[in-house]
Amino acid sequence: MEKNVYKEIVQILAKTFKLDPNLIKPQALLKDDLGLDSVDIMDAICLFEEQFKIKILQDLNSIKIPLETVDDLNKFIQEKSSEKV
Amino acid sequence: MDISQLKEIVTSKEGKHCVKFDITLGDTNAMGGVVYFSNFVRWQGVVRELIMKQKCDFRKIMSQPLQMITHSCSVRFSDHLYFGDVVRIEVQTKQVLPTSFIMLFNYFNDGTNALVAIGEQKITFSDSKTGQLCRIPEEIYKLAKEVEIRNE
Repeated sequence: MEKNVYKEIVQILAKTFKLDPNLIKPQALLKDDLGLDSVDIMDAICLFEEQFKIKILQDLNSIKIPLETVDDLNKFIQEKSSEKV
Repeated sequence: MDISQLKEIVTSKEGKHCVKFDITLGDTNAMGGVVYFSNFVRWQGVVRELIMKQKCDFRKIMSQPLQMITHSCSVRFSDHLYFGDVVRIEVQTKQVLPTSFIMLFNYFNDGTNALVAIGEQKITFSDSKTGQLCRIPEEIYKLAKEVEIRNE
């Protein structure tokens, strides 16, 4: 399950922002390594909401994990997915 | 350009919003020379909002606690326009995502059909109460999707 979520995150990032999937490593920095800006990250979060059927935007100001790396995103989505269950 | 110069806004079968208007002396650099470069950027702003106003209830949308933000814009020039020319701007979109999209502007001399410039701008929206980026209003999202270029 966890691996599937990570895989889907990589697929969404690669497809949406035309990135080489091989560059999307867990420790890759969203801004510095992948070249994403705050608007791109917000677009990605909305796509994750749709893909994983979770609510993120309403809690955006209370995010405790800093969303700096791909792994941060992964952990955050996992956390939100488990809340849903 | 002001509203009195606007000839028409049509959506073509090819999925482009097309806007035509006359070039006046006020659009040129001085003494009726070439159109001043910054007008091409200004027209992007005017044209996008005229399209949104004509194709959806833009006033109602913007009366919500919402800000439309221009994230970036650019123009690349290949020829001049002059006083008396009619400019035709064809507008399409790409990368229409939940919170942002890119508008593409092809500027033609309508008399000669020559492409004189191409431009693009990325637009996003924020909640004016919180300053937080937010989803594109549904009506504008649909409008952007109508003329989206895919598989570029």
